[in-house]
Amino acid sequence: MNTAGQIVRKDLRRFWGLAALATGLMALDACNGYFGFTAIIRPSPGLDVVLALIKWPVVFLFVVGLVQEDAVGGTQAFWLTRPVEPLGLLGGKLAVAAVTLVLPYALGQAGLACAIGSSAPVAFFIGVEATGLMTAVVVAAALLGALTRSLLHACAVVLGGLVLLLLLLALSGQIDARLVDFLPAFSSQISATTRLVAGFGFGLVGLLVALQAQYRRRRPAVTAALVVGTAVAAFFGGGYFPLQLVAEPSPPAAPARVAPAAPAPGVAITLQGPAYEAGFSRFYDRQAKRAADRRFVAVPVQISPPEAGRFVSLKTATSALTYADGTRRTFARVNSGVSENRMALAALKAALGLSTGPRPNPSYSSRLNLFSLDPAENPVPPTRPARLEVQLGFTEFAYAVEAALPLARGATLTRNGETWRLDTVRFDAQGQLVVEARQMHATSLLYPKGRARPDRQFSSTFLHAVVLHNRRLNEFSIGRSEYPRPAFDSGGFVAEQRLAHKFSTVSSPDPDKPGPRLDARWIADAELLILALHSSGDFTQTLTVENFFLRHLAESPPPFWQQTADRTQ
Amino acid sequence: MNAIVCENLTRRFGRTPALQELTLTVPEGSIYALLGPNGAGKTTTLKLLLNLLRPSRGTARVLGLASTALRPADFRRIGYVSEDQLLPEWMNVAQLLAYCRPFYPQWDDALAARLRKQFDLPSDRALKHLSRGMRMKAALLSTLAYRPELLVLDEPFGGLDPLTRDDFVHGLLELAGDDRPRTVLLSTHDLDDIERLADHVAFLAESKLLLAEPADALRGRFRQIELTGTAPAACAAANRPAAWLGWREPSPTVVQFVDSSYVGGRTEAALSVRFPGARLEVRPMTLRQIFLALAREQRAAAQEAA
Repeated sequence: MNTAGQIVRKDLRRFWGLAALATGLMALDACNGYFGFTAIIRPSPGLDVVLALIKWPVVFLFVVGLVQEDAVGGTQAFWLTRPVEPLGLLGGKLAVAAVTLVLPYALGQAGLACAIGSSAPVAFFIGVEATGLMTAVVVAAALLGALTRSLLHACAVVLGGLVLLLLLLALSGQIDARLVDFLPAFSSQISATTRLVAGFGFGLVGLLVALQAQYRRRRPAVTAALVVGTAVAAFFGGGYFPLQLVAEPSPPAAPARVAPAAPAPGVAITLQGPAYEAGFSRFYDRQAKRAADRRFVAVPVQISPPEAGRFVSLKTATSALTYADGTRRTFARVNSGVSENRMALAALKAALGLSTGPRPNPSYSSRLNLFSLDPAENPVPPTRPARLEVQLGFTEFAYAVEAALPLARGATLTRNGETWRLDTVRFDAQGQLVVEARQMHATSLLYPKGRARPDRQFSSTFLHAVVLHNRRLNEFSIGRSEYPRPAFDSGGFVAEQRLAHKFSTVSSPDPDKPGPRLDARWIADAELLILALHSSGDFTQTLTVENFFLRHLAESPPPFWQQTADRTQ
Repeated sequence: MNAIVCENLTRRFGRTPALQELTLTVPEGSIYALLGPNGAGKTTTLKLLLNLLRPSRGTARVLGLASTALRPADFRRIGYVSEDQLLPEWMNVAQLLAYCRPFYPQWDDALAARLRKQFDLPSDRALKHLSRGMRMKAALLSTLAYRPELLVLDEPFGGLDPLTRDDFVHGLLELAGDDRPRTVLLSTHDLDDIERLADHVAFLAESKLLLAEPADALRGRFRQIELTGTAPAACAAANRPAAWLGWREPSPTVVQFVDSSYVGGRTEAALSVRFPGARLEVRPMTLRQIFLALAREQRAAAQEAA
C-alpha cells in the first residue's frame, strides 16, 4: 500500500475547504493581476494588496492544520500505532501541499507572466521561483506545525518570531556593519543573487532535513539543532558560496544618450538677483564617518529653453571663483534643483502639436544652486569679488508615446514584456471622464536579463502623461493626474502601477481659454495615448558672472526650519 | 513462547520515575491485565512496549522484537486502543474503516462488518458525534478487523457506562478462534470486568511491579482470614508473617487479615496451631479485593517510609 497516496486521499477529503480557499485565492490573485477586478469594485483602496497578501495566512493555517491532523509530537496520534511510515506520511502531506498550493501558485504566476507578455524563458523561471518560494513557505509552516501542538500554539510562535525579527532589525545596522567587516566573503565577486539563491537553497534543504527528523521522531534537541544549523547554513552557505549560479543583472540597456537636437548655447539663463544663502542640508559623509551641515549658495535665475516645447532640465552645477590676483577657488558639484513642471506641460503640448502659449519662447523663474560650503572643508564664504564660472549640466527630455489604446474598459496592449490595460473608463458625478490604466511587467531573480531584470523599475507616474486623442478631429484632451499610486509589488513576480487621470475639456489652442467640454460624441472617436518622458541626452553649458561676491554669510547654519532665509545684500 | 518480555524496564521523566525496574513476561495466548491505581505506571509501560516512549534503562521484547526497534510495519501484527488516542474524529465509522483497510493486507471485511453489527455502530455519523463508548468501540473495531497477534488496550473502560463496558468485554470474549487476538494486554484500574476477562494479572503501584502471575493462581493464594475468640495480643506485629496483609482488629476478640500465601489445608492447620481455640473463617477473594488489599498495604508502607 502506498502510504503517501492514502494520506493524500484522506487529507484532501479532510481539508478540501481550506485547500479550495487557498487555491482559489491564488487563482483570484493571479486573475486580478491581469484583469484588475479590484479596480472595478469600488471603493477598493488597497483591496488588491489585501487580495495579494491574504493567501499567505490562509496557506499558513492550511499547512499547520494539515500537519497537526496527524500530530508528530506526543504519543497520542492515531498514526503512531498504525503501519504508517513516517516518511510516507510526510510525503503525503507535502504532496497535498504541492497539489493544492505549490502547483497552482507556480502555474498562476507563470501564466500571469505569459499573459502580460513575458517571454517563455522568463515565465519558466518565474514558475521555478514561485515553486521555490511556496515550497519554502510550506516547509517552514509544516515544521512549525510539527513542532507545536495546536494552531494557537503555532500562531503564538509566529508572533514571538515576529517580535524577535523586529528586535533583530532594530539591531541590524550594527550587525550589518560588523558582519561586513568580519566576513570577507561579502566582498567577493559572487553575485548577490547567487548568494541569495544559494542561501535560500541551503535553507530549504535544511528545513526539509529538520522536518524529516521531526517525523522520524528524533529527540527534540536534534530537531532544534537542525533548525539552528539550517539558519547558519543558509547564512554562511549563501555568504561563502563559491560558484556563480546567477549572474548579477547586466547594466540596463541605456536609453539612447544621443546628443540633443540643439546643443548649447540653446538655453538662455538670466540672473534675476544677487546670490544668497539658500539654506542648508545635512549630509552624512560615509568616508569621513561624520555628518556635516552644508550651506547652499544660490542665485535666482530665469531659464528659457532653446525653443518652445523643448524640455531641458538643469541637473548639476560646478562652480569656480577666479580672483583678481589670479587665485582660483573650486567647489564640488551640487544638484542645482530647478523646477520643471511647467516646462513639462509645454513640452507635452509641443509634442502633441498644440500651442504652447502666446509667447513663442516661454521662460521660467527658478533658483539655481551654485555651490555649497562645508563647515569642515570649505568654511570661508567668498566675500571678495571674483569671477564666477559655473558649468551647468543639462539633460534634455522628450515625450514619446508608450501606448495607444482604444478608449474602452479592458482594452489591453502587450508589447516588449509589458502590458497596459484599461481598468476604468467612466464619467464621475461632475461629468469628468475618469480613466485608470495599469502598467504591468514581470521580473525574475533567476533570469536577470533585459526586461526581466529584478531591479527593473517603472518610470515615475509623474513622468507620464495621459492624453485623449480624437482621431477624427485631431484634437486632444490632456488628463489631470488623480491619486497617483506608486508601483505595487506584494513580493510576487508581477509588479504594476496605476495611472488614474481625469479629463474634462478639449485642449484649446489658446492656453488662456478653456476648450469645450468633453461629450460622448467626442469620446466615441477618441483613443488613449500614454506618453512618457525619456531622457534624450545630456549637455553642458557654462555660465559666467563677473564681480561675484557675497556680502556676508550667516555665522552658523540656521536651524532646519529656517531653510531659505534670504539674508544677503 | 512469550509475546512480551520486559527486563528491568525503567523510564524517568526528568527526576520523576514513571516506571522502575519492571520485569514482566506476558505469555502468548494470554489475556493479561496490568492493574494499578492512577499514576502507577501502567500507561507508561504500554507506551514503552509500543516504542512510543524510549526506556531510560532496561529492555523489552514484543513479539520477538526489541521494542525500540519496532517499525511501522510491525504494527500490522499489533493493535492498540487507548482512551486518550487521537482518532480522526471528523470521519464516520465507514470512512475510518476505509482509511485503515489499505494499511493491512490481512484486513477482513467480513469480520469488520460482523463486529460493526455486533457493536451496533452507526456507519454514517462522524466519530465526534458519537459517545465516548461508541468511539472506543469504533477504535476497537478498526483494530480487530486486521486480526492482530497482540492487542494492547490502555484503560479501555475509562468513563464507560456499565452497559457499554459489558458490550466491550463481550465483544472481546465472544470473538472465536482466529477472530480473537492471540494475546491481549490491557491496563486498567477498573477491576469489575477484569474478573471474567483476564487470565493473567500484574499489579503496579508507585511505578513498581508488586506481583505478576496467572489470575487463578493469584485468586488461589489470596484469602480473607477472620479469627474469632482469640486475643490479638497473641500475635504482635513483629511476629506476623510478611504475607499477612491488612491486619485489622475490629473488636477485642476478632482479627481479620489477608493471607497472600494461602495453601489450602496447610494454612488452616498452621493457623489452628498459632491461634488455638480460635474460630477460623477463610473466604476466597475477588481480584478487586486482592487489588485493594495490595494497594492499601503499599500506601501504608509508603506513608510509614515517609
